[in-house]
Amino acid sequence: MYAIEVAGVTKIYGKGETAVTAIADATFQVKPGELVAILGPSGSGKTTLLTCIGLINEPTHGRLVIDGATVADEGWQPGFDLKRLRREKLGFIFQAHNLIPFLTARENVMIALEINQLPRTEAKSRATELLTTLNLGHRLDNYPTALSGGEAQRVAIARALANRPKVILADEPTAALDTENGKNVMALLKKLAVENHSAILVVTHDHRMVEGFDRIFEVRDGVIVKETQNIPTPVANNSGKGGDDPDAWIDTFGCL
Amino acid sequence: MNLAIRDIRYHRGRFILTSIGLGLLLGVVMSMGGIYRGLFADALAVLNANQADLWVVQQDTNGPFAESSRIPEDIKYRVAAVPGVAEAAPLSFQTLQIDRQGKPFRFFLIGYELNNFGGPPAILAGRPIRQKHYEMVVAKAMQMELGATIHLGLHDYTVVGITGKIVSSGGDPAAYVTLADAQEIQFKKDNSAIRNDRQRIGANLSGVQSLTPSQAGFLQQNIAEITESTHIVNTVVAKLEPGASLQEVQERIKRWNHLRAISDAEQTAILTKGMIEKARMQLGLFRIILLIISAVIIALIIYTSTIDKIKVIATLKLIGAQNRVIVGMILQQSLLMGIIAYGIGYLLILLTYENFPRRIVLEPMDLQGLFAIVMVICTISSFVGIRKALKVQPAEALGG
Ligand SMILES: Nc1ncnc2c1ncn2[C@@H]1O[C@H](COP(=O)(O)OP(=O)(O)O)[C@@H](O)[C@H]1O
Ligand SMILES: [Mg+2]
Repeated sequence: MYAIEVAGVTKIYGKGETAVTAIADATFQVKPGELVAILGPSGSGKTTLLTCIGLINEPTHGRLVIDGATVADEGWQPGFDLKRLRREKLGFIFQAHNLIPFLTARENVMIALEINQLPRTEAKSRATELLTTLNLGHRLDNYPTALSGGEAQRVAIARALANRPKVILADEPTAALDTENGKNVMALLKKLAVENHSAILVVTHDHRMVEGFDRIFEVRDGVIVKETQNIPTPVANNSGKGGDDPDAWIDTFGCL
Repeated sequence: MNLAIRDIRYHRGRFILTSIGLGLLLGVVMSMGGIYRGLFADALAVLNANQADLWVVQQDTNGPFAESSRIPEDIKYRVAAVPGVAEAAPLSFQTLQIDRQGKPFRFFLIGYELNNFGGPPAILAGRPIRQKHYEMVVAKAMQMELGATIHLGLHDYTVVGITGKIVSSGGDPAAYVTLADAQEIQFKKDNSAIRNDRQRIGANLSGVQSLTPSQAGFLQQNIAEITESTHIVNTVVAKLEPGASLQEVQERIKRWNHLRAISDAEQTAILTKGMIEKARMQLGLFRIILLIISAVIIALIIYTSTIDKIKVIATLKLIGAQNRVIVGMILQQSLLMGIIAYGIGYLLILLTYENFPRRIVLEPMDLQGLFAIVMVICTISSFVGIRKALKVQPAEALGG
């Protein structure tokens, strides 16, 4: 079973003369544990595709199957609580980390668990464990403003992972980071896809960030124009020059 | 996890300042309620102190508080003789203004008969008046020590006792002297005034050789002005015998035709409805305006804090948070602000109300009512923020 099935998904914004076809007839599948990139210039429809898969944007046409459930087929299918599907099956990572500014790192992870009905104490221990695994054990009680860009994005990743989602969707997760930190985030996602057996779909406009991905879809003007398989991971990338906390990053990959 | 409290904790400076501001407003609202209750208590203080059943006053007047009333002192015998009346006591009231340490000081002088009722209700310190002259019992608010003296009219009066919170309907503290003293203070002129009067009368009479009857009357009238009886009081209060009919007694006294007998209930109505109704309406209006201002402030604060949180709300929705999580956050914040502001306002009043120039009476029922109103206002005010929050699209969480 695929984690994501997209069949002829089309999104048209507006009506009549002002209508914009942001994504046209997209068709592909993503398996659990696969790391897939959607690469394309600004305005090509990447975010639109991601929001359709993320169940916050109704596809105008086509079929969308998430973890075996046909959620959309020429529009949303009745009988699905989209919010519930989002919190149980999907994890989101954003361009800006989108952490809640008035919650500490740990509370930011806990909130994702608590809205999924996990009891408080369990949420706390799972959040602590997750952040410690991501080498943020010393940052548990820091507010987002006190975190570096790379640290904040790792907290955001922890939040997306918290409910062990089948699908993780990331919209330009490296856009606010420098190249080093960006590459580390991507490497981390790759690791997580394998370990958690999650399908990870990453939108980016930066082709340097897709090393080590299983597949890449290139999008131009709403159309998937090219598919590339198995991008090699240059070994040099993970050798000691991680962003704000190099040793920690390396350790992370060691213990995951 | 309670998002409202986390947000408040993070933005505590802003929250505390806002709550203090609101607290001050609510404090004023509470004090206005207290002032109104105080007006009520003040207006009825003398009434309640006397526990009289009837107030006999000058015909066609709403005396002795709302309108002036002057009746001869000896009416007391006729009132006491009415069947059903147990006892009757003459009382005199006057507001005096003296100079105290360079500042004008107003107080309310009550004259009562020794060995009759109508005197100070409770002596908190010192003793009641025992001598017929020059002794005085003052309310605490007069701020006079036992043994202190005060010069009124022609004599010095010595404070021998302190009584509780007795004030005039205008809120001036009360002082008690014997009826005779009160009448002397009211009617006896000092020596220079008497000299002036004599000169005036002398001048009037100087051109007169032989007096016609009308001139003689004129002369008599003038002289009478000096010597005339000072046995005038403002009211005679009466207590009824057990089982006596109030209406019958009232009727009887009225049939004499030059007096009015006002029952205690009627007097209460005259004082509250007539005299403090306007103040009540004014205070009520101010209270409503202040509550509306509070509502607008709360709504604005909650709205702006919601606007500040659009991205947070969008993110929460995107990761699947239920609407109740978001509505709860906003509503709880609003209610918390109301509760804390109420607490601050209450504390403020509690610490200061003794020092207000007018009496403030804090009724638990008023305070509870206000609390309920504040909670309703907070709930309604948070609707603008909640409406905004519910319209936020989860997609707004994406992008920079
Ligand atoms: N909500 C919307 N309403 C109308 N047009 C939109 C909306 N969102 C995106 N578009 C348009 O759809 C196209 C694709 O946008 P987007 O998916 O954001 O591209 P990308 O993420 O690749 O930059 C753009 O032309 C954009 O203007
Ligand atoms: Mg985009």
